[in-house]
Amino acid sequence: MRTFIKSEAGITWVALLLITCLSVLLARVIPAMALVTTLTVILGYIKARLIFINFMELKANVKPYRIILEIWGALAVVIVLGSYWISVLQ
Amino acid sequence: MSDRENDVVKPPGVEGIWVFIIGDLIIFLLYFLVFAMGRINNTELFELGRQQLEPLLAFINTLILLSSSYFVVLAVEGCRKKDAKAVKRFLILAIILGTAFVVIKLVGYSIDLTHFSLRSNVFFAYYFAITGIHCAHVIIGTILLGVCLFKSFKNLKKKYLRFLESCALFWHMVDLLWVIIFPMFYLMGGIA
Repeated sequence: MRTFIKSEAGITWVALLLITCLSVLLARVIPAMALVTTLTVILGYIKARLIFINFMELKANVKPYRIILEIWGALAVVIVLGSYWISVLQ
Repeated sequence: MSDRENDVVKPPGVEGIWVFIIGDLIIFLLYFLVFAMGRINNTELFELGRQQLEPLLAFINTLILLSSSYFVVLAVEGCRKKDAKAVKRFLILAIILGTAFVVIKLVGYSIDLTHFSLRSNVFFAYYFAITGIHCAHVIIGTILLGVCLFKSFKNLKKKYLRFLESCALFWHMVDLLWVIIFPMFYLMGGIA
């Protein structure tokens, strides 16, 4: 079991759990700060990248799918954060 | 860069699953867009709605889903090494966690429904619709992992590996969607 956790997928899994804890902690401790909210969404995007690069095995040169998922992740963040900042600045 | 690095590597799973995954991701992107438009038009309502949601169960579910994805990765690795015991063990763990996600989500819904419903306002309509559709994906994914487990008792041939990889990709997609949905509904605070 220890060798599994030491693998790249294992390190990714631990990183995903830690990033999740960090984002929840930030959102709970400083709930009403636009920069913290922005950071929590960016942390979500980092998690999404870790999942499709390491879990979905797109780390290697799997060009069309990797590019599509990179664009998807970026668009998701732009939509979520864009609407947030528009509503903040209104 | 060497010639080897320039080579395009074949992705895991069958071609069709990638078409399905990309299609599904685009559909969810449209859901996010509709939610974003709703947020712009109803900023205060969305902030009030978010404050009424309890993030603890969603946080636990995030850890559960990420862990189940890891176990699915280990099951695929086990299949490549022809380790039938590892495949079964990790698939069982992933199925247990997938089921736990659904149970916790349903408990969360039962708590939510005592305070508000799909018809309460536009925020909760989006909340129940988007998380509900995602939960349906988790149920389908758990069933697919169950089929993988059932098939693992027969053989671990190349055809089975392709099937397992395809189901694993679907499961990771469900995870991918949740890591965006989770901050979108539960963590995006308003301005003091």
